[in-house]
Amino acid sequence: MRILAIDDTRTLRELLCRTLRAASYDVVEAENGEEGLARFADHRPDIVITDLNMPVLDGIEFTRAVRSRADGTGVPIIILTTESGAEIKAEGRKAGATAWMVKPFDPQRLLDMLTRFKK
Amino acid sequence: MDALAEIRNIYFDECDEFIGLLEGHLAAIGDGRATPDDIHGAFRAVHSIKGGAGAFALTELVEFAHMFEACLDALRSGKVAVEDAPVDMLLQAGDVLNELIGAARDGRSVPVSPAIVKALQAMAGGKTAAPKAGDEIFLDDDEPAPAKAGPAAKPAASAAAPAPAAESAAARIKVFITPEKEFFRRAIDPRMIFEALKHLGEIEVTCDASKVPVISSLDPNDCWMRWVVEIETEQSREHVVEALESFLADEEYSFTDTEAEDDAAAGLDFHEAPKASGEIRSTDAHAPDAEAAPQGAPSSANASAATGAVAPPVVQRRASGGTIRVDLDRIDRLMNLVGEIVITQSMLSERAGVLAKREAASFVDALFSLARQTRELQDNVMAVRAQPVKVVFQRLPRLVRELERTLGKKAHLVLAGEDTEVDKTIVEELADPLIHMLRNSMDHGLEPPEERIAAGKAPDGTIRVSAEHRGSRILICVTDDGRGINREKLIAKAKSRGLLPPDSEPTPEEADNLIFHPGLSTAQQVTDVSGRGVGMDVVRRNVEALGGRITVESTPGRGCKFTLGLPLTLAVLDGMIVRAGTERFVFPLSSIVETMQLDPGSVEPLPGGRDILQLRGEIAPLLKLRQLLGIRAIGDEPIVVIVETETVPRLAIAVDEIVGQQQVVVKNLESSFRRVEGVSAATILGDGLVALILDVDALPALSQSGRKLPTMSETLGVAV
Repeated sequence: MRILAIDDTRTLRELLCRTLRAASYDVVEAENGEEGLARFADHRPDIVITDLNMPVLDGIEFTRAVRSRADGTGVPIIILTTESGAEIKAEGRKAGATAWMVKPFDPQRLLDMLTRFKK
Repeated sequence: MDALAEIRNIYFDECDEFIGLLEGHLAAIGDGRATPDDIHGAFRAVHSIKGGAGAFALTELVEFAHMFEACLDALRSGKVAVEDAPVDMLLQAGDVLNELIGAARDGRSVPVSPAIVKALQAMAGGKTAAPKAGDEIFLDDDEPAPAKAGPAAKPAASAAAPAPAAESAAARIKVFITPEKEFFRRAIDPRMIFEALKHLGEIEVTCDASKVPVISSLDPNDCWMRWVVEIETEQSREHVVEALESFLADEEYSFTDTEAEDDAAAGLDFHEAPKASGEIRSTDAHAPDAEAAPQGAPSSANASAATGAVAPPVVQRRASGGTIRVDLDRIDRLMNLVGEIVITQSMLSERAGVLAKREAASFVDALFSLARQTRELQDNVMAVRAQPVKVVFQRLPRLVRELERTLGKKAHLVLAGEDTEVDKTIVEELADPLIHMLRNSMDHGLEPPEERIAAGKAPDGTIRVSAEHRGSRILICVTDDGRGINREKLIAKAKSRGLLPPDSEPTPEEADNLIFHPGLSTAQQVTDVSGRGVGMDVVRRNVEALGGRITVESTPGRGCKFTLGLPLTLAVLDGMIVRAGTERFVFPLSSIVETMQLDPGSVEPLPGGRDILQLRGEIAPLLKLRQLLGIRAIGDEPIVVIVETETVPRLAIAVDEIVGQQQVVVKNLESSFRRVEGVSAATILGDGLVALILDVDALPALSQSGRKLPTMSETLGVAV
């Protein structure tokens, strides 16, 4: 199972990727939405986990772009962010985000969530 | 935990970068030349610091960063006009943030001044007034959000329903899941939700497909289904909310059957839709619902081809690739390998000489290609390590502002060549000397406004900091239009301290360069800015340790120019290999002016055994490398290498032979052996033997002192 992890903050990306790799996921990293889109096209991830607030292309724009791809409609996108406002969440859903998790993330909870996607 | 400690380190390194960026952006805002990028950039820097701090539970840092972020958000959203931004306060907040980061790094705790907290809160407009600011953003995963936990937060229709309080043991909770039509476009498989609920206890799922329209008018991407999930659980309703809220909007679930009421109230048009499949009951969540879901769900695994047809065009993205971060260690390893290849390649070149002519021709051709490719490989690896000096330059406007305040002077800072690239290690080493030079110019160079006006100058001084490539070096110049160096005072002081003989008459350049002498400072009184007299000599020492040099040119009354020259990299250098006796040495090519046959007629002996070489009307001190080494030999060395040194513009060094010119890999001696006067490093030549790289700047002093260069075995402490 391949996961695309997008976060512009290296620390958080590192933390996320290590958590995922430790759970034997195949992880592809990207530093912002634009890079994420390129990785998405090249690597065809099964799941995407993305930060919201990023330079170049943010998480919402990224989600919208993925959803507009022919191969991007069925891929779950989890937004992992510090933002928890109802408005921004609604915007995320409208863009096509599958799930919303609030940082700092609890690795176990994230992994639990991912096992649900596995099936 | 090792891995975590490592990520922690990465985080703190990253924080340094963010602080640098933040200061650059804030300075731009302060100068009134801010672009939206600056404001967003500043916000993002603080935001990222906060995010990482949250991951490591650095509460104090999170709280402060949160307040700070709120202020920058006020700027970002236009609530506070950029022109009105209290830049000094923001810069100060940046300092506090930096301090908190430093404290967190060391596991300390530092108090935050209430004044700055108040100022931040005032600017953010009370947005951060909550005493524990961090909490509202970082919902703790163990504590589900109480605010929206119950149906009280739901639309009015449900408000009437009595909300049972926290459940006792094994209660039955009924959840109505009423997704929006666009539900499946979010790539949600309802099974994910059932699975999440199954964690809480036994569940029973009922699917209501009554609103699914006839197949002919069915868009498979629309969701017409609703589910009722009954959970037999010991957990409270909050946990149910927690499991649902990751996936569902507040309107998409409820603990009462709002839909029925809504339908009745609003008379929704899907009443016209014929009943498609009725109810599916199940006690096992995922199996039957897997069948129920495909009714309209393009499940996560495969998107239907039909979706592609109706999807809007794919967003265009730039063709250029992205960037990745790589550990410096990895690049160093790569660089080392390239170094080894360079050595192997020169070994091959050497062996080629002994091949028979017929075979040699094609071999040499291949060798030339190899040499070219090696060079290219090396340039490319170096390019990976290169960083623009901007990284350091962007800290300077801030420094100048601070100094302006401390010193009561005004200065206009002009930066040039910020995009000049140089090896990352050099960039890092650049900051200290540069900051010192700038401080020196601000403190000692620029006059107070009154004095400037009296001298017929503009009241504001100008300091120009520029970077450029010059050959294989980078030149950084700091030029001010201040009063210049007070030579008389400097000479007098040097003499009074016995640093110069009382009767000496140093040239203007020599006098100016006294400011690099340890223990000399001409400031009237010691200031906390740069007057401790330990500044410039330390700068010089550090710069020299890097194979660089620093010089000063001063015009009394007009200003002063510091020039800092550093190699672009520390890993390789272009060298000329010479022989003296049986030993070979490497001169850095960058310091060589010319080489020539030694004409014995142009050598003039001076008393004391020293020689001077007449060089087209100029004179250059002549050193004999054999003599420096203590090698006795008959006859003169036939070749002279003219080098440029820091103290002597032309120095002639006589050698036995020029062996060749090649790129050598610098192997630092100090890490393995000890510092050796006159030798900057060692290298391995093509035949696998070691040669010392000469530190030409140290040679004149070495020769004057009568000391000898150590031989190879002395240097390495082993027989070679």
